[in-house]
Amino acid sequence: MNKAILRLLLLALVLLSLFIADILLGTVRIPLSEFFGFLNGAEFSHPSYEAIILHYRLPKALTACFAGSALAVSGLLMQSFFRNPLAGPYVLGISSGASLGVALLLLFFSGSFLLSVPIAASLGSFIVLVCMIWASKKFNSSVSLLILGLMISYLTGALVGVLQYFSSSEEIQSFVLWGMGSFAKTQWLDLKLMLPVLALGLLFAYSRSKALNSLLLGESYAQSIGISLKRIRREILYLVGILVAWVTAYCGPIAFIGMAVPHLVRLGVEESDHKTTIPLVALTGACIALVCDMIAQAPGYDIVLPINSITSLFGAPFVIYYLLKKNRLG
Amino acid sequence: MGYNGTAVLSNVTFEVYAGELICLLGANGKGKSTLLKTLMGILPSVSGEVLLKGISINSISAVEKAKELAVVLTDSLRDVNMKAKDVVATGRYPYLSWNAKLTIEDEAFIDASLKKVSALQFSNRWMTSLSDGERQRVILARALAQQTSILVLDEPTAFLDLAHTMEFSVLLKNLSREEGKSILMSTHDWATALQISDRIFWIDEDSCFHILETQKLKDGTLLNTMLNTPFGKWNAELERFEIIGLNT
Repeated sequence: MNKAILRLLLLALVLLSLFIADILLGTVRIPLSEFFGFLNGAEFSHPSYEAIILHYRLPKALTACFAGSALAVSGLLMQSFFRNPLAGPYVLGISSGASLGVALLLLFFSGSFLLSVPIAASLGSFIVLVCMIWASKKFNSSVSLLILGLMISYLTGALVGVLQYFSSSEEIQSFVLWGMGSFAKTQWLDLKLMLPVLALGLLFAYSRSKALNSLLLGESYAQSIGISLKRIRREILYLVGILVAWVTAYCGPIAFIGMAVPHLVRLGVEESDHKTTIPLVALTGACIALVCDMIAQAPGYDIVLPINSITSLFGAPFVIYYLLKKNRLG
Repeated sequence: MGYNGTAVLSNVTFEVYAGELICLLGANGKGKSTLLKTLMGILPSVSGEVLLKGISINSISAVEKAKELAVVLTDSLRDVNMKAKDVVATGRYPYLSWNAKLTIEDEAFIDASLKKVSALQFSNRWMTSLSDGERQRVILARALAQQTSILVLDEPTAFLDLAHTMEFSVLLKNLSREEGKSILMSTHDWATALQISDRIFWIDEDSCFHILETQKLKDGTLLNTMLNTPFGKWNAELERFEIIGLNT
């Protein structure tokens, strides 16, 4: 028991360090000493530092944390629910719905006003979520849900392709930029909406640990120990649907964190109990997102790399490594 | 009972008593799995009802049912990333609250269940690292940890070698004798079924359901009719099956 708490505390400490590092690094490098001074009430040497931190870096870091957590936990839930190590938060097609929503906004209506992108993404996600909820009542098998989610992804992908085909280069560029993912597009107003939703979502996931553990043995065994399949399916769908919809709405689709972080945690900690893995995955997801954000900031250089390139750059080799390791043992 | 309103098996009426070991036999595709799934409550019956201690299983909650009936399925759980003791621990879930916290008592039950199936020594090992026989014993331990009066098993020895099949059979027989559990297991293994069961439920080629007393079966000639093949017969004196037509 003590070991588990120690582990969590250590991870939280790492997270805090990464959080501070993320705030301090970037095109403008803010010295650590000045940051601590600021916390103690002193002024910054440059007046712009305060603005940079409060209006840009802090929201960005917070967004990265919660988005990383939400996606990682969603990935874990999907992997447990479908008993498939390759599942991730996007297998339900939610982000594809968001993609279609944003594509319609930017490519078809070629306009955008304040909050329009998150709204369009949310609408798209919501429609797909509703379809999946309806399907979960009709379908008796989780595999069918998985296939439906994938088919929805294909459908929306095709529609987006058609929209892109008939669009101008500026329109396509703005859509592609959205698709590259960014933690930097949120304001404090957005965070006030986003963070409570994500926090509640993570807590709810933790509360379903017992049912999730049961599902690891398969649906028939889960039923035999009293778990209601209908109920847990509905709960997981809503939970992952909402988490993914919110993250995609504000950050665009962020690749790989959802799928890779659960494996990272499982390799490091040999536990299957969701009461242990959910908090670890949430913290690790936040850490990884912050690391990717820091790398994307390309500290010292005047450019910013797209998040999805960084996450995929780390994600793909990791999956390969995991495959090699698994095959050696199995 | 059947799927989507179409009956696969009809006119099935039987009772299972405490302390009995019943084997369910019959060719594939004739309704064995359907029967088991209906009993477990996974498949709703087309008509008629399943009563657990006199109450319809549809009227009791899933958790209450879980405290009375435990199952062992054909899923070998080979790719499950859990330790043996964690798998057995899920057997205690019907008795645990939402956070699934194990009490000292629960831990004791888990250890006792593993001990009964001689699997205590691998309680800390991963399911993926165990052999088929070892995994099957862990899965049985899980059903035992559920502390139920009824055990339903779907071809539990299908992938076990002879030695492990025998070991498993003794385990089950002792559970029904010493703990008074009602055990219903489906199998293809007639030889073992005749040795360990009190009664045999048989689903024939036409999906007709028969209830047979094992001892009467062994003494009589009905087994020959059931075998229905020119390549073998039942020798009631020697109590064994014999293959006919071998040129030795």
